[in-house]
Amino acid sequence: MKLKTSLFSRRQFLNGLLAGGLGSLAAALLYPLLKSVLPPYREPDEVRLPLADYVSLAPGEAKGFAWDIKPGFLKKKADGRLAAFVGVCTHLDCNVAYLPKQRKFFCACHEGWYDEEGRNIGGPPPAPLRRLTVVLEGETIIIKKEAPA
Amino acid sequence: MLCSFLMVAFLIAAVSGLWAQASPPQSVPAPKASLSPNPAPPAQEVVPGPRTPKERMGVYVFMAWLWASIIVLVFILRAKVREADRLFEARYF
Amino acid sequence: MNTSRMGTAFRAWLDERLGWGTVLTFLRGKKVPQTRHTLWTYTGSAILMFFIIQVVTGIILAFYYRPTLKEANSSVARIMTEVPLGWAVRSVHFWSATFMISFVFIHLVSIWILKSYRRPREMTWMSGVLLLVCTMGFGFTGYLLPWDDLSLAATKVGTDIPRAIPVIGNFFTKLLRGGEDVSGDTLTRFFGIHICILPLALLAVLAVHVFLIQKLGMSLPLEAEVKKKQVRELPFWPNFIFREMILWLVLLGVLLSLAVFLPPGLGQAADLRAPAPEGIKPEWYFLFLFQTLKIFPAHVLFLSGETLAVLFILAGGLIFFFFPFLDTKPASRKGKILTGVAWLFIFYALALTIWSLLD
Repeated sequence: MKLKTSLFSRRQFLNGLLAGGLGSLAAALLYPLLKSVLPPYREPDEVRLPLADYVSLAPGEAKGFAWDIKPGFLKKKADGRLAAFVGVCTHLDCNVAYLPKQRKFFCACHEGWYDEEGRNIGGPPPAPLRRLTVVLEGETIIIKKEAPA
Repeated sequence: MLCSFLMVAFLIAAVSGLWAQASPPQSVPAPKASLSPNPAPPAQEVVPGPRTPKERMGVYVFMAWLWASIIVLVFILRAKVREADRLFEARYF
Repeated sequence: MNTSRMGTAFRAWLDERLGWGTVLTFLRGKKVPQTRHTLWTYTGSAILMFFIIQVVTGIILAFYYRPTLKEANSSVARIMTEVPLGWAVRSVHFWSATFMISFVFIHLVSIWILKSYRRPREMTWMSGVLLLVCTMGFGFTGYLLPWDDLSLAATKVGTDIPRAIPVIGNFFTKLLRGGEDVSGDTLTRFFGIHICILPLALLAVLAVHVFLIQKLGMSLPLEAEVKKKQVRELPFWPNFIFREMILWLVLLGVLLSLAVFLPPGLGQAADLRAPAPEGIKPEWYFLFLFQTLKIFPAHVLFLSGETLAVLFILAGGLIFFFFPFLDTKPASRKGKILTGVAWLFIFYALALTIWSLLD
């Protein structure tokens, strides 16, 4: 069926084209701008530490290492094995401290407590500390980001 | 009346809060040993305020001059306010 | 031709091109009602004065400040130890920020209680709320810039809070931080927001705010408007401006005295991997929000306490923004109830602030 009159006036059609064209151009310009606002970040796959720095740890003691820009804790368990944690509170992202006497991790921001296995045992933290995998390779400790299965 | 009370309360909250901040907090323990590979050498304590006796003297002179000017200017401005109000009452404006 | 005739000719020449005669005539006719509530009309210009001081001292600080992980803290230390009178400039910036925010709160509370936002001034109120947001943004971003351990910990917590908002929260946190975590990018970003985005935004909104105030004139107290009482009015120029100048001078004196005798210190440079220091608290004007977050339980039904608290605060903010549209009959019983709600909120904020300070 052929309409006698157009549903749009020529003026409306052109206005629509103009607005649509400007809109799509703006979107094409905005997308790369917004994209550049967030820098890429990849956390390291692994961190290598010399074993010699950590052999003197007594069971129950912990020593820090740098998990990229975050604090990590390497802790010797009672059975002599090493466990690694990311020392960032799961509540609101503050860095935690390890208190060797109490064998607990403590977040001073809102008084959150974790036990020596990194489990949240007191205060506001909703989840345990993130654990990292520790692998010994000769004289090197390799800390990997996969959590132990 | 209540509004004035609020104004005072706000200022007290502000000033007391800041007072606590302005003075170095005593209870905060010194940061634990840095975990970064190359810890920066501990910077020397930055003491806020004038650094030399001359500057300290300058501060007092400046304060005296500031408040003297303010007092004189407020006095002049009050005279100007009275004058402007009189002119307004007399429908000069 | 003598100088005064030359001056007149030059002014006529400019007026022909700019047409500012209209503006001057308008300003000359501007009137300020004189009632027992007139005191509160002085707060707006006091805020403006503190803002101007912030711009001037901020520019000087920006000449020396370096927004990088390595140099932020040491460049502030340099401002305080090497730059001539740098400690004083920073101190004035610090205290003027405090005064500006204090007066923003006083300005806001007086307008809220006196209901000056009522028709036709709803948009003046809304632009004012946006100015409040800008001002608090200045405070939040500026607090990080000295990059000491307290400011880092406060920023980590503050930028993590949006995460509790469902759906968009995570993106907002990443946008603020420039990534998943607070890092050197966050610092540089906060500096950019503090000295570029927020000043531009504030000036744009301020232009609307001031234009609306000129266009609509000063509001009359509600009781005078209802009873159609004749209110004594004084010309803005020069009667009111002389009165304002007295206040400016006194406030300037108090500000400079506090700045000179109580300069803010500087903590140790922040270490991204150091444990958080004890007793972190945000600046005093965020304490009521901080304490609100604290009093919510960890879990409420299926939501985490944080999410609920943040949603609660957001809802409160929206109601606050649209308050003039709720308070449509200010003189009626509904209006009185809403005034009660306003008082309730003010006392809530004050009580939580004091609680948090004592905590």
